[in-house]
Amino acid sequence: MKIELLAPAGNLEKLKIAIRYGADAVYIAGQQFGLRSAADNFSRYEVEQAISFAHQRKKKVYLTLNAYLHNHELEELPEFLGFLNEVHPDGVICSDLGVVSSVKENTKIPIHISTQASVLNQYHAEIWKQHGAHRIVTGREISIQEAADIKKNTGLEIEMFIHGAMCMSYSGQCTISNYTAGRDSNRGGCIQSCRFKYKLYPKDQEPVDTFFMSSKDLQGIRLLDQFKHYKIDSLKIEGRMKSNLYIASTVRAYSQALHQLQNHQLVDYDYFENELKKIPNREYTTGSLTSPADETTVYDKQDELSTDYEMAGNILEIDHSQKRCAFQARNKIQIGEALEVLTFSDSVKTVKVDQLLNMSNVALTVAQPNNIFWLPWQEGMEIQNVARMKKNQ
Amino acid sequence: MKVLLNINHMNHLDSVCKTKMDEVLIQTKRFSRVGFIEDKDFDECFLKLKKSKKVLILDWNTLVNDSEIEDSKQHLLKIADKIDAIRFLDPGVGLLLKEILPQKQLHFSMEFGNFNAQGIKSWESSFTPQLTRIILSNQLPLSEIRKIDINTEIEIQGCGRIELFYSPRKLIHRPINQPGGAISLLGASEDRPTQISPMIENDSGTFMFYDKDLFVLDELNNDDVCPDYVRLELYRLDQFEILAQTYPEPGWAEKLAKTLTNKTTRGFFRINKSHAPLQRLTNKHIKKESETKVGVVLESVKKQHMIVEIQKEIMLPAQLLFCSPEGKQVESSVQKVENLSGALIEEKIQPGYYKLPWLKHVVPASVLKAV
Repeated sequence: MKIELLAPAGNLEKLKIAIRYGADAVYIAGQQFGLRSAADNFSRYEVEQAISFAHQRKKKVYLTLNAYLHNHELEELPEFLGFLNEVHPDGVICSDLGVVSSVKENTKIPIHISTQASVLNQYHAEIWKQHGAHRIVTGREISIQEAADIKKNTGLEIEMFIHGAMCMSYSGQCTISNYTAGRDSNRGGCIQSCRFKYKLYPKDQEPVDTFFMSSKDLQGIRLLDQFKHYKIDSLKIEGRMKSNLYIASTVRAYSQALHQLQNHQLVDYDYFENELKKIPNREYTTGSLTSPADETTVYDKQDELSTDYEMAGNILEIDHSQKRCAFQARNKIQIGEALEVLTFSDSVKTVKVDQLLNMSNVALTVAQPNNIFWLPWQEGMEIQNVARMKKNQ
Repeated sequence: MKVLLNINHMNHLDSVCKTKMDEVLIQTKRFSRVGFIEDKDFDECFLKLKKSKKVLILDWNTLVNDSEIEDSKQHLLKIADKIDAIRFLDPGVGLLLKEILPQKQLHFSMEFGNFNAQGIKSWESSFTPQLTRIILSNQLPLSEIRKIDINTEIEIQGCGRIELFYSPRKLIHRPINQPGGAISLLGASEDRPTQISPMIENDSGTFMFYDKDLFVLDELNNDDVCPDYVRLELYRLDQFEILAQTYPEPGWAEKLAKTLTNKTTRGFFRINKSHAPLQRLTNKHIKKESETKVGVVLESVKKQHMIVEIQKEIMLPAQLLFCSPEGKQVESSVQKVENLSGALIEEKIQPGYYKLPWLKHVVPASVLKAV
């Protein structure tokens, strides 16, 4: 059984990056009904483009409809479902039974139950099965073995998170944003209150400042053999709002590791773990994947993502005749900088920036974010490759 | 409309028995998120409440994995005869209860999510005929509640703490350097230092409540037919004592209100506009649903060039409108473009990256629309 690697795609560019780096499937959101209002999200034209791009490469696209909707919003859903019937996504991700009922009434698209529904036991999964679900994205509070038991007892496909930021609360059960900021967290308005510093006032003690609600990030690369052993169907990477570098690095690491595992090769876990450390992170934990998450999974620090690396930019086009590529900077790049280009299937290529010529062949002293310049091309570098660089200290 | 109240602590038992409420929601340590009634005290609790002729509802409002379900199931079967109804939050628990206690009345608590009638009706169908009551979220305005047409009785929270956060992780004891067990304290975020919230850590996890208690009893009348039940979610002995002394005499609710936090809130009882701020998160100037969008500006170098990503095929010459994120619009007639290698393209432009002459006011992220 091949394990599906499922990647986030906040926009069409990220979708292409995820697929080119080896994702088997991506999840996206339209302009309505999803949980990430601040993400770019896909217009209908882009949804169509995304599905076409993925299907041409035999990859899948799942569309998130996982907000909890009020009556007036639910009334607008059938029209959107009519559009989905025309473009054929491979699944929709829902958490609201009203949405599930509407999807069932209006389409034949497979239904995945979102982690927002906090499915933690076989009975809960069974009830969604009775309502037409094909797949459960389990709550992040259960182990791989517990998820496997749900699969065994219900016959449903199981998808689990393997990487990314985590809610400290049960997903879907947190309403801090609703009451304190007037923004509905279950309709995309989460203000990330769990990342704030809190002052606790214990009885008979001095107040304590703490980030006690902030969770470390999930990372399960060393557990891939367990996911395989327990026949988990799909492994999900969190982060539709994360950068191109995050998408490229996570998908590249997990897809290459899965490839080695599934081909009975020795998996180079040290290498992949090191690659994942180069993405901004809140330190890593395996969460509840093997045993219930405890207090050691708290990231008791200011929410500044730590890493020595940052995104340099990505390749837009390659001019083979001149052995150079048009490269768009996403951070400030200076002459002399060494860029590490993450290739799709080759090793990481280190390219030194000797000069910065823009598209009008004017020399720059420094490339600012969004500037496009010519970068020397090396064998293995392709369009949409993402590059990182060491942060300037 | 009937009124019921909760009991989550043995210290409150005598006062609860003295109240004239018919129904009591029992919140135990084993089954309830913030219940403090131990297994060993359940019999005493049961006997005293039954002697006071109360209808007993067990509140099983934790989220549970399969092994926790199995542990709790055995205990539940031992006490099931003593209770009149069981309330569940986790739909999986509901399905289990339907199987193991087919005669027992069930209440489904939809505190989180489930805001639309279609979803609520579908859940109702899952637990019929045992389901006798649905507890709706306190995020639903009364006007929406009254539009929900179901056969099952409806309950809402009328006053008390509003739970904002539920984590299975025990988060408080470590930062305050205390051993585990039940910890109760106040806390506030740096972002909102004046909103000081009650917080609890116990065996079920960590909970945070809103700094203001909910109070909507003054918005409801005894003869209202919807909701059918209103629940008082109380947490201090004096609140139960006030209730024992005053309910159902006129003015009881006002007296109870004085025992709540200094300022109370109606929450979303009148109107819920928590979706409105989300619309501001989308930049209306570069909103992408437009059918006429053909591309986006990636780079704009003053007096040199612009690099654009063309996303839809266009024919030249073309009249294009450049819309900046700040709302500025510049219209331009494009006769020819260059690809990034410098080759001139004069007719059909395929999706890809192209160089155009620089235009004033056009900045990166500006959207290109066909006019």
